Amino acid sequence: MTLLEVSFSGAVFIIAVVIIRAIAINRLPKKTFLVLWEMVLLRLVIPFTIPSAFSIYTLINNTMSTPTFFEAETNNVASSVSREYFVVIQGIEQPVKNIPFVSVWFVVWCIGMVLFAGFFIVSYLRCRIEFRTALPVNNAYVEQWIKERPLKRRISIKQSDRISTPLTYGVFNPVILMPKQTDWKNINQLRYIFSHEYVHIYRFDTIAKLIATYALCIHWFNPLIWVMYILFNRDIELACDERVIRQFGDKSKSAYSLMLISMEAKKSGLSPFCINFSKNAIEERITAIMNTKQTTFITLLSACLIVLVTVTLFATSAIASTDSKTSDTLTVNDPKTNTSDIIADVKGSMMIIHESADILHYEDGAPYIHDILTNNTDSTIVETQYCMLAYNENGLPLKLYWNFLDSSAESSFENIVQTKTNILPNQTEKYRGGWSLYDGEIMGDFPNVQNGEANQVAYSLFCLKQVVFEDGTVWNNSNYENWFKTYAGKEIAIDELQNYYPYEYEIESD
Amino acid sequence: MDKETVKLFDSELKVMDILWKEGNVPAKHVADVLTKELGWNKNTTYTLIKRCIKKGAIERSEPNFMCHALIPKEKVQEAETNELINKIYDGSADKLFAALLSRKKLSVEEIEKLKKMVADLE
Repeated sequence: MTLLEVSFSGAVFIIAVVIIRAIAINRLPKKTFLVLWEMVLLRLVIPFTIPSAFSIYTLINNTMSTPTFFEAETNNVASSVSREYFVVIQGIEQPVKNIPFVSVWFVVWCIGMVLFAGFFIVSYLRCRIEFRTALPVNNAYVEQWIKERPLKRRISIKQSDRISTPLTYGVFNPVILMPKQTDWKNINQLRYIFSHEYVHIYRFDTIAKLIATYALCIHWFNPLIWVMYILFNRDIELACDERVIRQFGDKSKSAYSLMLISMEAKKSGLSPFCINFSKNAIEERITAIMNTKQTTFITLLSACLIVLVTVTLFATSAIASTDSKTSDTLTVNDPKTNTSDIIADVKGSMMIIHESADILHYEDGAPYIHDILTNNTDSTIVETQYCMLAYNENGLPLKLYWNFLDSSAESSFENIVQTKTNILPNQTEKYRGGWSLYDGEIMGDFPNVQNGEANQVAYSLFCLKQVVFEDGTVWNNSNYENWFKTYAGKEIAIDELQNYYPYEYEIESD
Repeated sequence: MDKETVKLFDSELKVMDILWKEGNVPAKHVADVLTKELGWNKNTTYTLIKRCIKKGAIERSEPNFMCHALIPKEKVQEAETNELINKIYDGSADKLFAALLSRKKLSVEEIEKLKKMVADLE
């Protein structure tokens, strides 16, 4: 999967979670949304995918494929485009194929990623340097509270006059940092604050946030990732609040909310642009706290179901199409194999492409066929077996003396040949020799074959029958017989002859 | 030396305290004392000393990076909290960007509104 594909499917997943969140934020345990966001993060960060029959992408594929008129229409469009392309090939003889793999977008993406990553790393380091200047807290309650925590990691509580609300940092040696103005005598408030921060520590929320930031830096160009980033950070707090309320009981709701409001009042930093957004955040948080309910069997069950369904639908990819017919049908004439799409082909699928087979002439005017192959598989091609057919300018099949040097040869429509070759992965063969075509009027020096007419070949169709790779594996074109029946000895429309190339072979990797 | 007041953070005051108590001492000594007292590493103390120098609270003289307090204890004011750190560290992008754009406190009405929400939902 390419980055864009990952980002797109991630975005679809995010939209789904945003909708579920909007509907059910106060109905389901907040942990549900954390799990969903974590699945989104996995989708965004891990490059491989799990195919599923129930994936939304499988469902879309199934509804989108079959209709034949759709294909026919694309074909028409294709031919009108590729006729031009054909002319181009004729003109320059060999299409330019060595395109650098670095595009402008790749560079832009890299710059963006470095900038965002730089911003977050610098901010983080600046904070950590600042936190090192924190001062110890000498308070009996604090010492007792730390002693009561059963965590293996050693928690410490410090204070600083550089912050206005409590926060936690450090994964292995977590530190709860309290603002200097903390009312150390207000044990109730301290209990709430410490419990809240303890939940963050206990759940390794720092790491979750770090992964979210990492995903943001990679997918910075995707606005929905920003939505995810903001909502995920909010939901971490909401889930944390929920846990604290469960711990202290329903009666604590108001006190806890009022404490949050008083801390929010101490903070500054709401700008006119963001006022609604940030205000929403605190309002959402207070509504969530006040509406916290005990988890019942029903809510737990529905939460599990929602996660299961959402994940199977959106976190998986489509199953690869089993319909092999679509992969190498002759009628699918793909005209766009010239520039940038080659890059996609290389990444996306294992393919060998017959770029062209042109009728060229030696200096003395004798004609020969010259075909060009591109190897878009990951192994070197060492031998090819293929069939050649020839047509005149009206599309009528020609019986040629393919092996005219041996004058006993019969003339036939087709000629099957075998060639030793060496085409490296992702290489377009520059020169592949030529197959001389007999032209009795020009080739005086050659053995004469029967009445030796002038050669009338205008078009030549090639089809690979078999390819042998360096590692000994042999690929047989399952479509070959089909191809042969369609073309050999048949009159073919000029249009089709002109648009035959590039002819693509999908190589099934096994 | 007559100086205007200087705004210092608590951590910087810890450095100044040593100078006020012990007079002119080398930076290394300040670092040693604070390592023992607060568990700070040497770099943290040096960072703070440099900040105090920048603010005009300490004068440095060679050799041995001798530190001399330029202001008496009475001339020091509490520095104000740097909100930005909180915003950045919270990791909530909305707050962070709000902080970067401008600063404005929650208004009294907004706070009242939130308190009313709590009462209503109870």
